[in-house]
Amino acid sequence: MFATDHISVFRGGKAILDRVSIQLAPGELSVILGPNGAGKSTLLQALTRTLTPDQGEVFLDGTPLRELPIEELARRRAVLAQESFLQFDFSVEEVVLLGRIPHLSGWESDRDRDICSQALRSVEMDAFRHRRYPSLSGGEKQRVHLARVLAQLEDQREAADPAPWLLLDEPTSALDLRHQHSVLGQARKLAKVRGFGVCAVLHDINLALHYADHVVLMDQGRVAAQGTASETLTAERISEVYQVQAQVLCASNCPFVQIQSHHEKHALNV
Amino acid sequence: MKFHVVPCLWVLFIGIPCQAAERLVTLGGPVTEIIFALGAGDEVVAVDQSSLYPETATQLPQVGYVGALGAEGVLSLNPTLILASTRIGPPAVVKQLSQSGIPLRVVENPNSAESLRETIEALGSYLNRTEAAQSLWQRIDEDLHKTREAIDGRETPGVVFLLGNNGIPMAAGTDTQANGIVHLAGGRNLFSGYSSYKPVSEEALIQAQPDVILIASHGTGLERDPQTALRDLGLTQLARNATRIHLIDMGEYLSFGPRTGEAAYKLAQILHDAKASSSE
Amino acid sequence: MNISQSLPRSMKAAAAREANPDPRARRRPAFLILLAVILPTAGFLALMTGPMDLSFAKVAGILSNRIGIGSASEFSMAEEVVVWNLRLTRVLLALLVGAGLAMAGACMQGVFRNPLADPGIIGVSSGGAMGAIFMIVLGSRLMPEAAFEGFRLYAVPVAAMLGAVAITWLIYRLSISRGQVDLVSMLLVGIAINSLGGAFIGLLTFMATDEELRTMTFWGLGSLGRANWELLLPGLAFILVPLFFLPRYARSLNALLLGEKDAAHLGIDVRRTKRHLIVLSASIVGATVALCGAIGFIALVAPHIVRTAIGPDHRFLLPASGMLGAGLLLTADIGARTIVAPAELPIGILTALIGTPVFLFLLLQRRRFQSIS
Repeated sequence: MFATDHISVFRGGKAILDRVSIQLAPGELSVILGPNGAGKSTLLQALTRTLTPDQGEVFLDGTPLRELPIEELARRRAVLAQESFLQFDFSVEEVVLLGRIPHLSGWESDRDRDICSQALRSVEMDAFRHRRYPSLSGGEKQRVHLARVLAQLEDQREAADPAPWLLLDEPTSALDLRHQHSVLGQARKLAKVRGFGVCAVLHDINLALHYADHVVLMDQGRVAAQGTASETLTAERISEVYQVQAQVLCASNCPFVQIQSHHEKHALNV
Repeated sequence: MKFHVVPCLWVLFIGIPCQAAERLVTLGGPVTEIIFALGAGDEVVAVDQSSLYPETATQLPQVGYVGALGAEGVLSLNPTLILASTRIGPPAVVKQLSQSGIPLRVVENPNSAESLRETIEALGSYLNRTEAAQSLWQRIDEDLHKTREAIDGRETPGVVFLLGNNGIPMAAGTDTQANGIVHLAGGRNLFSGYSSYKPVSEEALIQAQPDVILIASHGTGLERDPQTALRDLGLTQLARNATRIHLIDMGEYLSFGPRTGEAAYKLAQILHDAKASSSE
Repeated sequence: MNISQSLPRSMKAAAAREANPDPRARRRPAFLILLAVILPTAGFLALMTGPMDLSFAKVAGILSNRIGIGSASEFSMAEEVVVWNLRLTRVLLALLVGAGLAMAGACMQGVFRNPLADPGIIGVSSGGAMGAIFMIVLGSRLMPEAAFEGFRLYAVPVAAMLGAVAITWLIYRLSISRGQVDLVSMLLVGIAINSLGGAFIGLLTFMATDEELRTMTFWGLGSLGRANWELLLPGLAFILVPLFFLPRYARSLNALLLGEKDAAHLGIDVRRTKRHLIVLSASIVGATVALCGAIGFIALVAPHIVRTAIGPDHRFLLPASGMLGAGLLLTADIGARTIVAPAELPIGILTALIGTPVFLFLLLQRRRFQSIS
């Protein structure tokens, strides 16, 4: 269970997060949504411990996040950043093996290599294993990093151990349509089949409607709504938060949001 | 260079006592000049890069600059005696050389008549050539005496000695060879407030009101004429001024040694003839 | 019919893995063995060559006599000094300084996440030189001459290390933006620091005596000619000891290449690791500058060759760079001692001749790579 208890973050006298309390359960794909500047990334950074909130507390399975040793934290949660700055000439496999660092004391074992192969297969990058990382396209790089964080989460766990968490910061931004769906499908499978906790920041409401079990809708540093996707993403709320005219439609049993812009609305009214 | 070593080693091996004369390495222009003037030139096996006189010295192997030597380079010439001026360096190499068991004698880098005499005597005694040393000094001393007589009673000209360092003019202070030779030639160094060479501004040069400006020339032929040399140092106002400017060959005038007596006489003529012509 | 078709899938996959592993990973053992062979060979060659013509029997005789095995061959005192005090100490110093520079360079390039981070180019060496010069000027003004020699042997390296660490920290702070090191800022800061270093040396030139002036090329181009047994002691203390700690950070350095945030997510204490690595690598560079002046480009070239051959994994990169750097410096020093024998070339001239093309090549490659992505 990942939870925040009234966390606030201030920058330059302004509250970027304002007493945010959320609860994310393992076994579900949770999605943080919101317009630009709503505080999505800041909230995720609080969850990843990249920043410590000025007020309030983040808990991972009941323990305050800041009290967990950083090495242990690395074995219990992995983070996929929006962009990567890796410029060195690693092979794809070596990049994925970097994900095993929290579990190693010396050299990688065959088991670590198998985990990496599996991770690469799951993102459809196993054919690229010996390619040089800098020679890949942006989307391919993103998938390699996804394989890296998947490999990071593999561990020998007892049934009673708390579920590991995968935190994704706009994982789809560099991907084409097919791989956007493949990544989120993968993420949901991780939650549903293996019981991992997964939390992703997304931009695309329709992807969220499609995949999310739980949605946190952010607006101006506050939680505008949270709950299941269909509960949270109502036409009224989307219209209010995003300041657009939205409709939730249904096509072949699958909801999607259609947007009319301010501009069009205005033009129609005239 | 290695051909010096091989026969001598061979001789050592078969046990015939090597009755050869000294094998000298002379480091520093004045030291080399004096050794050659003492008649020991054919015992010198190597010199440093600042040893540019006499001509025969420049034909010998060079072991680097006197202040930037390599120890093995010097030792590889299998010297029996190393003679060097106080400019020898770096200190680490001096230490290495002194550990080698080969005698190393360091003499003053002379910058006055007195220190020149002492240096010549010291070198003469190291080589058992005290008589040659005495007659060498006598010859120099005669020239110095002649110089003093020639300028007797004349007004002392104020002199500035400039050295270009990467286009920056540096003026000679006390404790320099330039200061010494100007003094011997009957001139007065106007920059005597410090030792060694220091960068000077054009304003300070004008302020000093020199009668004569001497500019060091490396004898490379690059310096075309005194005016251009002055301008190359960025001293445009001085170049326009009517002050007398002369190019001075560094080897000939600044290396205190056998040539110093003649150099002092020649410089005295430069300094005082100029003075005479200006006062007319 | 086809045997491969009858193989179970997993075996086929295993066979494919064996047949097509990463060529660089496959090359690693051979490369490390090659280095381990080349290094003593270069050391042997360095002991054998020099302006003085000495036979193998003689060199071996002098060494074994010194070690205490006794020897049959005859040699003069000067020959003994050449082999034992000059060549051997010089070989050891070259090994120490070459390995130190190369490993510190590899480490800095990891911390700065940029293969162009050469301590000479970005100004770390200048920082070391400034620290050393400051201590020399201060020491020679404040201390009696006799005490100064011993003091100088240890206080100057320490001052150089402090200078190098301070400057590295400054470079790091100034060239980092949004958690990333900006190449242009890094190089510009390097230019600024290097001209400050030049000014500092100029100031010393102004204050120095005529004799001191002549040894000034030392700071700019470096020399191993000061080597002696006394100098090896601070060398061991200030270079070998930190070198011993560097490989422990290999995994952290690998993680740091991903960026500081990602490294933190992998459980690396980034602030502490960075602080340790900067102090260790800059100290090594500072100590080498104090002992032999600023010898350029070894720190750039050795890690670059190793990365090209066996990849950027620091667990291999650090030891392999150390061996290669030691070998390169040793070879360059053989050249410095013999090319203009019996005089000597400043070794920095030779390393710059090898290093500058490599640096330009890296810069060019980088530009090409950036225009693609």
